[in-house]
Amino acid sequence: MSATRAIVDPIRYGFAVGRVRVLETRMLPPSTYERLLDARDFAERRRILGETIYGGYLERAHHTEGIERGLEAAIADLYAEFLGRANLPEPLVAYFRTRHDFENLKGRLKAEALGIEPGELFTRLGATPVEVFSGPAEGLPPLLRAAERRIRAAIEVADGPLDVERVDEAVDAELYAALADIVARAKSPFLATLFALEADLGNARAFIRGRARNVPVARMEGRFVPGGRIPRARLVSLYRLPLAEAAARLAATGSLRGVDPEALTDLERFDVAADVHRARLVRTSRLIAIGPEPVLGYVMERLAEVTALRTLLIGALAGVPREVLRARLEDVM
Amino acid sequence: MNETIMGLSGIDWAYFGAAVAAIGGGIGSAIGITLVSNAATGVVTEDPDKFGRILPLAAMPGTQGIYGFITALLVFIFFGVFAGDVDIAAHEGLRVFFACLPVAFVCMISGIYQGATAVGAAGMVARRDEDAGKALIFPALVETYAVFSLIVTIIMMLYIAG
Repeated sequence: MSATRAIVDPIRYGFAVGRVRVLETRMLPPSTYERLLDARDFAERRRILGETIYGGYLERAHHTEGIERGLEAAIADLYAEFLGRANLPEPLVAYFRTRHDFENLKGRLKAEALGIEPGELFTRLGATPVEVFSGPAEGLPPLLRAAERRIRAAIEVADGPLDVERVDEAVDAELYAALADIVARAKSPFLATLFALEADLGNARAFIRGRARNVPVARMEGRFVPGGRIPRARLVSLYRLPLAEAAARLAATGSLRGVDPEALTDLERFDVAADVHRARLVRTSRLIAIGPEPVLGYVMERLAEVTALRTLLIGALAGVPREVLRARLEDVM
Repeated sequence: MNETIMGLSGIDWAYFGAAVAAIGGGIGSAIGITLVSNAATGVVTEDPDKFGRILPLAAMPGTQGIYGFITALLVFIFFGVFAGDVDIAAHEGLRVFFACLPVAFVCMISGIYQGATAVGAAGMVARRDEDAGKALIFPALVETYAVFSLIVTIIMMLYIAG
């Protein structure tokens, strides 16, 4: 650590890191997941979560929508406290917020393609107010306006509606391009590693989804985003293999090393495994005494926790058997 | 004695040394305490029960300021400032000035780095109460060198005064 960082970082991040060190001890332990899995019904799960920081967010939840709303509120508060008030450099905050803006852009385009009201598709976690996404393109911030223009050019069927099937890949490609710009601006080795991992995880997700929907190889080439440690050509060649073999090889490649190969065959399990894998990298940030990394690490671990809770609570409400849920949460537990 | 070195008389050099020691130690302590206090307030915000365990860590970089203060006080005592009987040759005053430098520099640097070390130690206390004792040891190691510098300064001054 340089002499300047030794003085500046504790002054800038000391308070947030101090809080994070205590809050890390309040993350949900495996025993809480066990109790949640063993609970008879949602009321009992809510009671168990009442003893945790999620109690206040879920006390009025009775169904899927309420759970989603409660967990989103938990993330919103997390963002407000640790991205909004922790003195993190602007690119680090933008790295988290921008993905939600693109999520909303995706919602806006999908709603248009399907001819539905976009309200339910929007999240309030981005940097841009939700209302902007319901209005004309001119109201969007320049970054999103330009991205939308390029996306439309790529997926608009001549004189026809948007190709809804291609919205996801086109928006993801724009999102990763925007994130790559942010990472270059941040000049943070930690964020660069994280971005490469996220690109690999995003590609792995596209891989699994493509296989589940029997998307032909030719279509998949455009769905893999750049920026990961695993070259796109390698992903395409693996895509041609039988799923189990492809998953095994993928789990031994680049930054996906350490992911359970079975999680690479099941999208539900993959989402949890991906968050846990990301959190594993992020956990190395705990070894850094002071700086933005421990704060980012905590934010990401909490996001992984929310994903696990969402999988568990909504899965249980939908009647997914306990053993299936347990398998999906294996990486957390 | 009217002789001067670089325009400063003996007592001027002695005052200069005392001031540098007090300033160096004070700066080190002020920055060190600020560093660790930021993290400590974060910890106490989330868990007020940790106040007692974390306070020694926050106070630890304060000792460098005390060493600077002691050094300045010794200059005043050894060379008769309080007694109003100041009579130091210029070269002797210059020696007093040099005698003050170990405390001035080492305490300034060690105070800052002790604060930086204590930030990590505060993280240990935040996670596990029972590590509070161990957490004190690492910043205390930095203290060693501040103590050595004070000892060297005192020995040099005893030699000059004797």
